[in-house]
Amino acid sequence: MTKEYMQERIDLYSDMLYKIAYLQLKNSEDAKDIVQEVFYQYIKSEKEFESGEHEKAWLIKVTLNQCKKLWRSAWFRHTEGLPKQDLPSENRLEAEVIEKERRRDLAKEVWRLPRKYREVIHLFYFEEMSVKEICEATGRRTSTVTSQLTRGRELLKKRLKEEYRYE
Amino acid sequence: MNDFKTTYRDAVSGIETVHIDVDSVLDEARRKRLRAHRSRQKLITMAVMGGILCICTFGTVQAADYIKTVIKVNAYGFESADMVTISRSEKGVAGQGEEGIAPAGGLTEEEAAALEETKKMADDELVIEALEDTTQEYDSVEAFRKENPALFVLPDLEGLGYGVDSEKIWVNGNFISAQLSGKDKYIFFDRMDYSDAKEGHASSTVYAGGVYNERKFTTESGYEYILVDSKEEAQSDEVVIHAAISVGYYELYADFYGYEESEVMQILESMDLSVYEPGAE
Repeated sequence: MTKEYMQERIDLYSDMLYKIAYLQLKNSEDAKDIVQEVFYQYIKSEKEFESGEHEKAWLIKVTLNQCKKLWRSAWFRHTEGLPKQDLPSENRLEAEVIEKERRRDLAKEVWRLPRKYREVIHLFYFEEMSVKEICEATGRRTSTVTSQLTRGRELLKKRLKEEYRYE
Repeated sequence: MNDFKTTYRDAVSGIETVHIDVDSVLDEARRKRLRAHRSRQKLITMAVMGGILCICTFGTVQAADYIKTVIKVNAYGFESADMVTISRSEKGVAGQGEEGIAPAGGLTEEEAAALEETKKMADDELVIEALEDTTQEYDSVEAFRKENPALFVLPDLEGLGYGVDSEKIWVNGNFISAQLSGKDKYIFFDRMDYSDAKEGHASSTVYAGGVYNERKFTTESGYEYILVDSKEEAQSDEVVIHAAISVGYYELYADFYGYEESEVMQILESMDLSVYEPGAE
């Protein structure tokens, strides 16, 4: 594997893996460490993948496992709050301000979900993975993923002030 | 009605992107430092979470007995308790709320159960968030000393000729931890303050892979450390040296990565532990 190829794979997947790790760990330093470790394993394993989807599932699985390992380690770093997002200046339309706040409220509630629900919600809605792909990435059964998605949505419906369409 | 998926994707897209360089991924020194930091499994955290402190009740309490703490070595690291807790454990005295300390061979049933409970609690995000919310982190010893008056003796590594590239200090209640890192060498220092544990205390420190080669090192000032070794990782020749000592109400632990035994002794010798003696403040 040439360095250029390695960097190309890192550039292709690092953002996705960083977001997954960040949502798990709620800490940017830990998330970055995890992503670097995942790519280290990827490079050293010299694993051959059947397809891009197989490669993606493997990377997500290793990232989630690394996050789980960190959860179980004895010392946790300080949790950060939700990442700051730019608020529009006062000159912007009020509607835009309201929209940004709405997004922030939604992200906050997903942030608060139990880790396993947060995981599947993110993979389903942000990475647009199918239940089957999520099963492969997380190592869980279809029934487990389906019920975690349902349970995650139920909690969000309870907690969010606004109603959303989920399908 | 708004679409959840669209709103969520818009929200998450706002999270910063990171650029990761392949050279930093392959940097073995960085990995080693991170693995060392991650692989330190300490049941002290359980004490911080209030999961494992052993409580004893007595009719009469001899305050001076709580000062003496005994640190022993078991197969996995160190275990410690104050003299009264040990005495009750040895006598097998039944009492309300009594629990024993770990026998030399390993964890008691209660501690093993508490460990399992803590592992489950690790999935309880409310607990983790509560723990994280109380941890203060400092990026240098200087920043820590400016803001926190707590007693925490650290060596002057630069003065001893060891370069220091980074310093991190974490404070959680009576537990303070420091990481001092140089090129290929780093040390973790942990300090527990049991002055608030009016009814006794017991705790364990566990190192993945177990420990061996127990020995003692006495400084010129008369402070006796217990030293043990562990392997940095399985099938590795790299030895990590661990040191433990109790002074007054304080317990101190240090983990040396990349240091020779003579260097460890030089560093421990340089630290003035008299400040931890009762009445020294």
